[in-house]
Amino acid sequence: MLAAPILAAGGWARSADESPAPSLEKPHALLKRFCVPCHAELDTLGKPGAPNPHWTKALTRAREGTMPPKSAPQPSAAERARLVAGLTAATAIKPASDAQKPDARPLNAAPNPGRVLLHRLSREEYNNTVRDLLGVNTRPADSFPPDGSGGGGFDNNADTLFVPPILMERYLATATTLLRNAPPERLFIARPGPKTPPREAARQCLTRFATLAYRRPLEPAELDRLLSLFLAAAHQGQPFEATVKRTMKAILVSPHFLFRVERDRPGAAPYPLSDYEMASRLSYFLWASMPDAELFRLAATKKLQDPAVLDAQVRRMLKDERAQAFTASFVGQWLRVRELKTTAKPDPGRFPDYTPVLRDAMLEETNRFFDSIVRNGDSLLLLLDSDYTYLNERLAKLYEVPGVQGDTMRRVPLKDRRRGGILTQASVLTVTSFPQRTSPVLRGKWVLEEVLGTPAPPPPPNAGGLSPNDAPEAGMTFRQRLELHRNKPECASCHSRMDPLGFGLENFDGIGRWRDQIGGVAVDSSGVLENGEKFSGPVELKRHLLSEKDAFIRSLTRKMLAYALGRGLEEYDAPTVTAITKRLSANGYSATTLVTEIAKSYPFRNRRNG
Amino acid sequence: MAEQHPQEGSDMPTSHGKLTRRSALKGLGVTMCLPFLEALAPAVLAAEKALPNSPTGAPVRMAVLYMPNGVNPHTWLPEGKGAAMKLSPILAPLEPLKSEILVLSQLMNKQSIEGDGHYVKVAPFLTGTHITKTTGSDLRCGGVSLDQLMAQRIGNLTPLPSLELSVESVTTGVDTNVGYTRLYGSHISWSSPTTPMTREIAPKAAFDRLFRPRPTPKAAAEDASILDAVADDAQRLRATIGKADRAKLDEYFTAVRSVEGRIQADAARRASQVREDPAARREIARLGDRIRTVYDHPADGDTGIDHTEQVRIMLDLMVLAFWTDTTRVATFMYGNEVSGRNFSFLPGVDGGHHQISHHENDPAKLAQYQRINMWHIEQYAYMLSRMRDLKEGDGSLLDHSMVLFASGMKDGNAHEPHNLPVVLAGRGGGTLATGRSLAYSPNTPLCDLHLAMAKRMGAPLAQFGDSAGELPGLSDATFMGA
Repeated sequence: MLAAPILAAGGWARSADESPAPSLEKPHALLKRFCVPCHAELDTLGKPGAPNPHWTKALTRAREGTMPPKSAPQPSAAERARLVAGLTAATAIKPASDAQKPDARPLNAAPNPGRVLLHRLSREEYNNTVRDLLGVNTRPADSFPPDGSGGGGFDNNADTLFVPPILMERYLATATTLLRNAPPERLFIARPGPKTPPREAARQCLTRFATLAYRRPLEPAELDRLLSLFLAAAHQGQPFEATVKRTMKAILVSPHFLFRVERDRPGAAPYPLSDYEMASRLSYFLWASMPDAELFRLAATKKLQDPAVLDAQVRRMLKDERAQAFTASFVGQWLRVRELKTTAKPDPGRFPDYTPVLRDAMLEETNRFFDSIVRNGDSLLLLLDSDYTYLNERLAKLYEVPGVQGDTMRRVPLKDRRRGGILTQASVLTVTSFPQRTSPVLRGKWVLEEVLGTPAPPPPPNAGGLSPNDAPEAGMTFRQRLELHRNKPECASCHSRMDPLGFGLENFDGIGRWRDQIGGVAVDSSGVLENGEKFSGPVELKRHLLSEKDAFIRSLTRKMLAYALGRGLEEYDAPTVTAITKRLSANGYSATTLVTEIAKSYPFRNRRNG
Repeated sequence: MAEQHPQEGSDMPTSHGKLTRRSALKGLGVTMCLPFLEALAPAVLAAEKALPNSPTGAPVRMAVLYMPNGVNPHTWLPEGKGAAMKLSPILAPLEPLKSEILVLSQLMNKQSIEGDGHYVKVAPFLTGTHITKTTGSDLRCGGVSLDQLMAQRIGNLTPLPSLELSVESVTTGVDTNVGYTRLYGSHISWSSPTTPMTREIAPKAAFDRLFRPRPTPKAAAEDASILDAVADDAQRLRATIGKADRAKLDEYFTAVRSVEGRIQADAARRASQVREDPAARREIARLGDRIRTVYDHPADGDTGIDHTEQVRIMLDLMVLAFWTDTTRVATFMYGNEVSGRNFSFLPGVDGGHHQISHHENDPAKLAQYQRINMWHIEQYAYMLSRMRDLKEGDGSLLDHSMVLFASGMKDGNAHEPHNLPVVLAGRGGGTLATGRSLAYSPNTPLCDLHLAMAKRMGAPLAQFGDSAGELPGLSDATFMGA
């Protein structure tokens, strides 16, 4: 009864290196040996088929290396790795009874929707919101200081969106510029005239503008305060337009505009979001921008919590051009290809072909590829392997694909299946390399973290590293040196997971170009996986990853849910993730299913006080 | 409005507990809704009176330059004690400035011992506190950093309370190797335990912020009225949102107050100020031209920009910000911790910074590591010599400054947190007897140095982090170490 969910959860089977039959006995033996002597509560299997709730904490401590204490017997690095992998898999299991329900609701009697902190607009959100509000497409926030990112790994994470003084200065200055450049018809829906006193014209202009900017109906008292600001300026004899704009400037630096505000309600129980809050959650998830007229209309008529309406809206929104903001932002951060524009710096001496033009084409390939899958509702498994990609002449040349001319990116069928899928895209291969050489370790680590969602534990102190160059040294290839390095038992346990995955990609150099030799020696792209399976080269590596599709789909679901919510995931989100992945496997892994299920999920539609 | 301030009466969120929000506000003279000019004038006078002038009469400035990834431990320390100091290979670029520096050894930041190799050595460098291990939510470095405490105490005296610069975009995501958000590795300045100070990395934006033309009184009044209105919005909003959200909104309040302070300071300044001085204007114009030349030419982003020049421009911005008294407190991060910046532009160096810092005692790698460290010192020396060339009163800008250079660890290979590499330059307004190497007893708290600097900034603290008392001997030319 236990074996099935453990297998599905992934990490366990691969870590049980001696015995082919996976079971809970192994971590349990390790727990018994190293943890239970002091922590008796860890010494049960939990309810039949369910993880012991205390194991999550044990997992954290084991992963941190903060337990067992120095004074107690220590597990070897390999044992610790097995413990971590085992607990990771075990704690991801849902009780079997719930797992069978197709429409699994959150586990507990009192489900926890989590809490998203007051959410400042990210740079991307600010850019798109002022574009839709004011019709100004200048992306002013690109010059704001970059946003950090939080537990989910995304820069739309409310916890890490700060409001430093430096930003407030920019908001103020930018508001002036935006209002100067906005088309007047956007701002002035009314003007003073024989029948319209200035105050009335201002009332109409400001009501409309503030309603859109605050993404909800304006309260009467708020309107009164805006009008008194208008009147105070008007008293100084300024012309109508200047006075209204000055008041609009206050709207553009108001917390109601700069933050996505969700209000607390009386009582302790979780509650559904208001319709306007729901409209903003949807629009910022899929457009990284404010709601449009239709979302506002549906919010006004209180229809946005209806699952059928939600479903239809998500499909509509994905078809809209604005959804590119979501696909680019999500994939850029999930796969880390955004780093092409920041930290990835291939050495110009080593890779003279790596120009800004090529770099942009690399990024564009990944963006377009992901965008087409999501917006066409194609299978998410295409991300692992596909028979097409997006290229322009420059990138096609790097890939040695003939017949692609011009700067425009277009969909190109791939006859040579060594390419196809995210793993073999130049963007990914470049950001997972060092400036001067590839790194099988970084690439393997990337696959574990971003594709399979099973990161390796940290390296021990004094782990050491290898030279920056991959040319043969002292008669040894780079690969041989790396293998020597990880012969140390404390290194082998993790490197035996990471390195083979990376070696499978060794035929791609530091900017993703195919190579048969490194420094005159033939590339060895073979590897032995932890389960003993042998493979060689990218085609077989992709085949292996497709056999791990459950782990991949779970990892992707977690990432996208974190992005959609604007917060890192917590333990209580596990049932939501599981429910969505079940839907996905029943629906051919359709990308549309993933997005709609997230939009309809419990944490996306509910909140609690905090 | 001052009476209704959201945090009025509550303690400042500092671990130091010496400064309440009320006293901080009094010190800043911030009374948001009063007509701003009237509110400001007496407060500034009071604050200035409360501050001891440096012996030379000029204000004392404080800069902190943070180098990521530690130093080559074998070639950092100078030989010889006190004034008999003989500079080490890494410190050699400071030879022409030897009389202006103090090399301090055996300092240690207690809170950086436990935890991971890197992150617990950066975020607490200027806070002396324990940082919470987190992947993003519940970000907490435990305290307010030294520079920000100074900014809160004396920042009202200048248009900008403080300046935070870097050349590397904040590193995002979680370091899954160790379970810390990489945000910790990108911030040494913290205005509250939960709020890192965002660093400006765009030189043009930093330049405009520092040296923009003073707004017309009309524009200033307009902005002031807008800020009043939005502070009012925030005040009302505060009542309807959750407790956790209020901390976010308080960041907003602080930011609004800071911008108001800038407007007030600009309005209060008159043409006699140093920024209007022809020499200062000339320097400002020259730097502006240089930034345009460097940054307007590459057709694309920053790929073609010389890294040394990129850093020097930032250091020059700090220098001119000090010289024009636009701010007295500044921090600069050469890079984020664990930065893998490719230093192959240096002769003999082949690879990324973090990668090379894991030298495994390989002599070839140690030599490269040393060269990278030296490059950092060269830029530091550049800044110091610029400051020495700028005249101020009877001396130079450097005479009236304290410029700290440091890393959060000794040896990057072992992530060694003891015996940190620290250089303090400048005469601190006649309060530092420079030209010496001072070795303290092992594990002397780094926070003792912070305490000593705070005192010299005219904002003494009774205690800071794990400080045991002010670091001795900095002013005493006969002191040989302890």
